[in-house]
Order: sequence, then C-alpha cells, then structure tokens
Amino acid sequence: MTAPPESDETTHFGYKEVPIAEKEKRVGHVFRSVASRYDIMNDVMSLGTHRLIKRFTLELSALRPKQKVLDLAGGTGDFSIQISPIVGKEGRVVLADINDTMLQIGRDRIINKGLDNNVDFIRVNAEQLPFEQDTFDFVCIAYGLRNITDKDSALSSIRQVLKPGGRLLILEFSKPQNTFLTKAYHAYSNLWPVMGKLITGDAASYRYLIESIDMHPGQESLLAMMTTAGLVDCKYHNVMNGICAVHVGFKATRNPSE
Amino acid sequence: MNELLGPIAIRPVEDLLNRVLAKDSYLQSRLKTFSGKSLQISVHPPGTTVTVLFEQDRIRLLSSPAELLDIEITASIRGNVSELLPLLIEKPDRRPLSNPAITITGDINFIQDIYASLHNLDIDWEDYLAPMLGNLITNELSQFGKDLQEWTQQVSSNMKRNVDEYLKEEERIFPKKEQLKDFSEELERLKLKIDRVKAKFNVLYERLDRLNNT
Repeated sequence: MTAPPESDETTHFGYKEVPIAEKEKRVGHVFRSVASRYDIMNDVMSLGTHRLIKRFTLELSALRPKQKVLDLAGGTGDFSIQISPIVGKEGRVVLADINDTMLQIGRDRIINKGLDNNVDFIRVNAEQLPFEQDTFDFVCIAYGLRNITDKDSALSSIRQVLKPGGRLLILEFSKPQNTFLTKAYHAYSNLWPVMGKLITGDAASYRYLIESIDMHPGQESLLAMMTTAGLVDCKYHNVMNGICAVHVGFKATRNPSE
Repeated sequence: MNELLGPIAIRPVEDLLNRVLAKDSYLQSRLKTFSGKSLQISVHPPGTTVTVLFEQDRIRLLSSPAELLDIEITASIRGNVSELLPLLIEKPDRRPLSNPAITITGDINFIQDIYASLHNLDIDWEDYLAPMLGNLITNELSQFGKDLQEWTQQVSSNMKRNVDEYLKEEERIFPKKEQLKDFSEELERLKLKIDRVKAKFNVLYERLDRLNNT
C-alpha cells in the first residue's frame, strides 16, 4: 500500500503560507512551548482584562444546572473551572483541546481544585469532533478558533454536536472599531514578543499570536461563516471596542414536520 | 467597558445572597419552588438591569438584560429607585406592589410569591457581614443602620404630624377628629329621628286606611 499523496493546498500560519498538514504541527509547537507560562502571559499581555472578558462571556452563556457543556480549545481550563459549579453534579463539562500539554495543565488545575467529578478531559481536533449528534447544550471556544486550520469544518462540526436550540459562544480577538484605539493596540501588541521572551523565553510564539490575530476574520466575516455553517440567530458583542468579540449562534430547533 | 464591570460588581452580592439562602431553611424550601424560573429587575434611572436565575438551592445574578442573554424570562419588574425601594422596606399591608408606576410583565403570581417570601425574611445581617468585614466594622455599620432607621422613623412621624396639623388647623381643608365625631353623632341622631317620623307616618297611614275601609 502506498501513502496518499500530500495535498498542495496551503493555509496561513501567521503571515506565512504553509501546507495545510503543517499548520497543526506548528500551532502544536507554539502551545507546547508556552503552556507552562500561558496563564501568566495572558495576565501580563491583557493587563488582567482577560479575566473580566471571560466572565462577561460566561454571563452570555446563561448556563443552567444539569446542562452538558463542551469547552473546546479549553487548554488550561479557565472556562471549565467556572462552568463546573454552575452545571453541578447532574451536569457535565468536557474540556477538550488538541494540544496534549495544554490539556495536561488544564486537567491538573481542575483536579487540584477538586472539580473533576463532573469534568471530562479529551484530546480532540475541533474539525472532527468525536461526539454523537445533539450532545451538548452549550459549546464555547475561547481564543481558539483562529488557530484552527479549517474553521468552516470546525463550525459545522460544532453545530452537529450541539443539541437543537443549543448555544455556541466564540470569544476571539477581533478588529477594534476606533482608529486611534487600533493604532494604540497595535503599538502595545508589538511588545508581546518582548514580554514573551522575558517570561516564557519564547518570542516567536508571541509573534505568531500577533500575526494570527491580524489574519483572523473580523466580526462580520466570522458572523457570515457561522451562518454558512448552519447556525441561526447569530450575532456578536464587541468587547473593549472590538479588541475582542463574543459571537453567539444557536443550532436551529427541529422543525416538527421533520 | 461597562459590560465587563457588571459581572464583577454583581458577584459579591450574589455570594452574600446565597450565604443568606443557605442558612435559612424557610427560604431554601421557597427557592425550590422557583427553580428554573427567572426574574428581570430593571431600575431606570439609573439604567441598571439585573437578571436573577433561580436554581434548586441557590440564585445566580447576571448583570445583563434577558435580550442580551437570549433567554426567556418568567417575569420582569421595572421602575425607578424610589418606586422599587418600598418593595423591600415597606410592609405588605401598604401594598407597594400595587404602585402603578411599577411595570410588571410576565407571570405576576411568581412576582407576588417572591415578594411574599422576601417579607418573611428574618435576617441577622451582623451574622453574615462579620466574617467578611470584621466585628468592629460590622458593629459600627449595624449601629449606623439602627440610628438611620430611628431617624427615618422620627422624621416620617414628625412630617406626618406637621402635615396633618397644617391641613386641619391652618388651612382647615380637613375637619379635626373631634369635629368629625360630633358630625357623625349628629348624623346618627338625625337618622334616628327620621326613623321615628317614618314609623309614626306608617302608623298614621295604617289608621287612615282602616278608617277608609270602615
């Protein structure tokens, strides 16, 4: 038997064009490199505001007890830690990430907090989620979508695993809506590789972060992608004037005639 | 930035309320009946909306309105601070919920049930605040609260007496209590006289009727 020929198709990794199969490996390397200092770097780069943004995102989830939640690209488990007490013992949280190092850190944090009785851990590729259709009441993906090679496949896959009426929240860096803020934000973000070098010893990963944010679709483009993936009632909320945006979409409830 | 501060600001309030609920078995039992329901409280001005999600043994407070959260609420109540505050401090017999300035939508029975439960609260706030603020500050706050309550009652009572006096003695818009009593007694006497005249008339009428028949 011969191996299938590799595709010539490329995708972007930051500003570079790389073969599709290559991106996953490169992103994996970035996160393995920064995993141990990931949370500290988030605090430093965002000046702590990422905690406020995540809390606002969580509020938009309107979660209720007994719900099943998929925390996709959940990494170090920030969201799962908040969600676990809300859904309670009768609910379930699945912390999923493609990166084993990040997932290991998230798993350790959750076990140390004693929250593992309703949290499962799974290494998955968001483009092909290994869950049955109509499994989750809520799926969230925070600062993860821009690292996924085929975002359209990921959105379709998420729609499949959502229950009818289920909710998807995407928290991601986006495009600031104010020219002055855009300039100030770009100037500040150019310092991230320096901070990265000082804290994690890795400047390249934080250069990739800046480039990947720049290449990520803006608010309206992502909204259109969600609609194309079959999600309904899609909308977004700009946070900090669009530096970040929370996109919300729902899986349509089944038509009774179907 | 407001959307980011709301969830943080509301968290301590949620924690405090859940502590109170956890220690009150009556409220716990009431809470179970509200489980799964939600209430939106809008205070305008200053333009603040809080959504309360009722769960089996706790409540969750969200600083965003239901439209933003994409949830269906069981009921909502809306008014300004001066209209909504009496719901917390006035006795139910004064019926502050009937104030037409307060807008209630959705399940009114649900709001009445919550209101009734709130008025059966018997909270020793010092008990809850002391572990967080320390005994000294809690004691000072408690004393300040009691002084404030006493002062408010005194001001309210003085105001009522002065207004009463002004309307009755100065402006004579309303009669005094004694005048009202005298008037009422006179009215009663007049009514008795009319009854007696009516009875005499009936007797005379019957007598005349008999004479006519003979």
